[in-house]
Amino acid sequence: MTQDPENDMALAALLKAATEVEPDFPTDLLLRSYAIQRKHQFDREDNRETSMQDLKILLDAVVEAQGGTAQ
Amino acid sequence: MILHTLTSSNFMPYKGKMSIAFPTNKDQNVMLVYGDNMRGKTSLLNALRWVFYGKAVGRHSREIPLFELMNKDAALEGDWSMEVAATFESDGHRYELRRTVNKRAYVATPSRSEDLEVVRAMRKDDIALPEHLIDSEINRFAPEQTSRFFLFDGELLDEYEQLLIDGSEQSKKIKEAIEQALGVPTLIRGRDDAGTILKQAQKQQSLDLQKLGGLEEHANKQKFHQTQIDSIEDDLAELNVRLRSVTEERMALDDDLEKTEALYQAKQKLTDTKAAEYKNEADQAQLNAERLVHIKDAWREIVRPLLTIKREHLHKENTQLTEQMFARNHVVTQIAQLKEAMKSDKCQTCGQSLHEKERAAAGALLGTLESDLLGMKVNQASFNLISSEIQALDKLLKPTNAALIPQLDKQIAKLRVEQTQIGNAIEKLNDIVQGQDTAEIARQRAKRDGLIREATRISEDIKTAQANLDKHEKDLAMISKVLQSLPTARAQKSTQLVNISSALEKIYARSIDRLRNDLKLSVERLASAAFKKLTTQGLYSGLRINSNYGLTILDERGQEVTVRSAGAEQIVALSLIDGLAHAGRSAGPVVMDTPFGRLDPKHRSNILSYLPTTTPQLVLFVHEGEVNRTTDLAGLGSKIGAVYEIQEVSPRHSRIQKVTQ
Repeated sequence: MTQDPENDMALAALLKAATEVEPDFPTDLLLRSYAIQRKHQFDREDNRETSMQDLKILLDAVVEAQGGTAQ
Repeated sequence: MILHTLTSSNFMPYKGKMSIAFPTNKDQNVMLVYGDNMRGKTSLLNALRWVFYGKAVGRHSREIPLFELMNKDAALEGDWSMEVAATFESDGHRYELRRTVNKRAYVATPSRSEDLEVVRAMRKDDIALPEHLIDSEINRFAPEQTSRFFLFDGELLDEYEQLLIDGSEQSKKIKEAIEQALGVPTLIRGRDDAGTILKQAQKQQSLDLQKLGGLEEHANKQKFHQTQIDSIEDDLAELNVRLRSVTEERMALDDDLEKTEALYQAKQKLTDTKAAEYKNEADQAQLNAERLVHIKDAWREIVRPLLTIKREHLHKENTQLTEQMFARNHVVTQIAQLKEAMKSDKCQTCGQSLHEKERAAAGALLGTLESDLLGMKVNQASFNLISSEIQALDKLLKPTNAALIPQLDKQIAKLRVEQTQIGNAIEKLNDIVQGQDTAEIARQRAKRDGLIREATRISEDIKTAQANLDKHEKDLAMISKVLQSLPTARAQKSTQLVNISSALEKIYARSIDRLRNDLKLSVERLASAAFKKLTTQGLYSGLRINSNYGLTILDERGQEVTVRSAGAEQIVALSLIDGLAHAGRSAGPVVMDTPFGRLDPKHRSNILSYLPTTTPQLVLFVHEGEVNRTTDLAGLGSKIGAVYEIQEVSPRHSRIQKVTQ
């Protein structure tokens, strides 16, 4: 899937919002999270959890890479 | 996406096979399907909607039950099969999508939708796709959420006017549909998903912190707020379900009541008409009584001419008799005077003494008068008779009110005509009202009003719960901030996940507002451009959008035009559709059912010239009154790729035929 803020108003709005409220948030992570949502945007309600699970996997991987302490 | 063919079997009025081929030449990209009302234009739109999304919709966008989609004539003949198939291309791939219905194996004669079984199949480049991939494939080029912008029902035009009314239920629904088409749900889902992960991470964080010395208090506070949030969210979910259910029930009642509104009106009218009938009868009775009074004397008018002559004649006789009486009395008086004079020798007039000569003359005169008197007989009896006859005639010839009778007759005749009309109206109204349970309608009305009150109450509860939720979320965010500053907490994986998901939720939340603003500006610009092409009023400078995507017309000074005609509403709605289509989705066909209902020829011409330039395929289902084949298509001739005509075979059977151009 192409990610082109020029032709995708939602993505452009997301990138702009990041610079306003969380300027240090990694753009790559934001783009990957958006790609997940874009892919699942028209999922039916009974399939609603899929995008959340994909996003969770993505965020867990980021945390894992940061090397935090697990209890 | 480019549509190629649509075929069906026993779908709605199309008994047996039906097939149409869409024009695929980009220079001749317009297709017209002509059909009178109730012949099956909307059924064609529904055939497309049903094959793509498995649903067909009727009035007020209500879904038509599957059972009702089966052709009734075919079903009567025992044929319980139905199928719709569409072929199309997208991104260089060829597709065939097919939906088939048959009665279930154990059912002898279906009587409801549950007795039928639907099977769906899709082939991509001649290879069958597994069922679970079909939805995502359709969503790539024609997601259902955006379908109202390419499968366009003329009846929906009215709905777009609702966008100008803030807070109306209809406007909320359309706003939602518009935002779905424009990609807002992508960001909303991103925010919600990040929020769900955040909540889970916060719970884990609480558990982790309880195990770390010195952070138990934070953990407990965090846990308290999480429990509160969970509980409020459960309440909110339940309230929202109840609100939806109450709203749906109320809308269903609204639909039922709309159908019975005519009955209710008829009932009211019947009461009024019966009152009018009663008054009419009373007025007639009064006029008839007046007429009787006048008719009692009216015979006199018939004999009046004869009696008048008779009276004149009697008057004459009376005058003669009176004159004779005067003359005789005069003679009698003269005789008496002369006799007295003869006795006293003095004149009775001057008192002078009479001489012999004069006495002799007086004697002679007396004799003459006495002789005359003998001939002067007056018939007193005749005089009395004539006088009494004259008196009687005078009575008879007194003026009467007979002249009023024709006027009364006129008024009575008018009332009788009205009475007949009222009688006919009552008969018709009785036919409508007969057998209808007006008490049930009254019950439904009362229930509908109760549901409106209930919805208001639930909405208030939702508002209160939401405010409470916001408060706990704010407190939780404060605790997160505190934990951020504590190195032990910060090092926890759960804390890191809280931080990252919290930041992500914040970004998505902000982006939703930003996108909505950007979209409004973009839609306003695109719709204004379309509007200027479509309107015949050159002085209008464009359109202004509100927070619901409702559009108002701006005049040459940039002032809002507050009063606009039904035709102008339609042009604005079509401009919005065009603006949304360009702002929100990739190019695809536009199929419009009865879109020109209110428009004058010039506006129709503008639309017919403009739309083919903004869409790769334009399919119009119209009736002759909307698009005249000879006058309206003059400028469109070269763009027309196909023309079809729907013909009625019977009220439950239509067929479609290609027309040679």
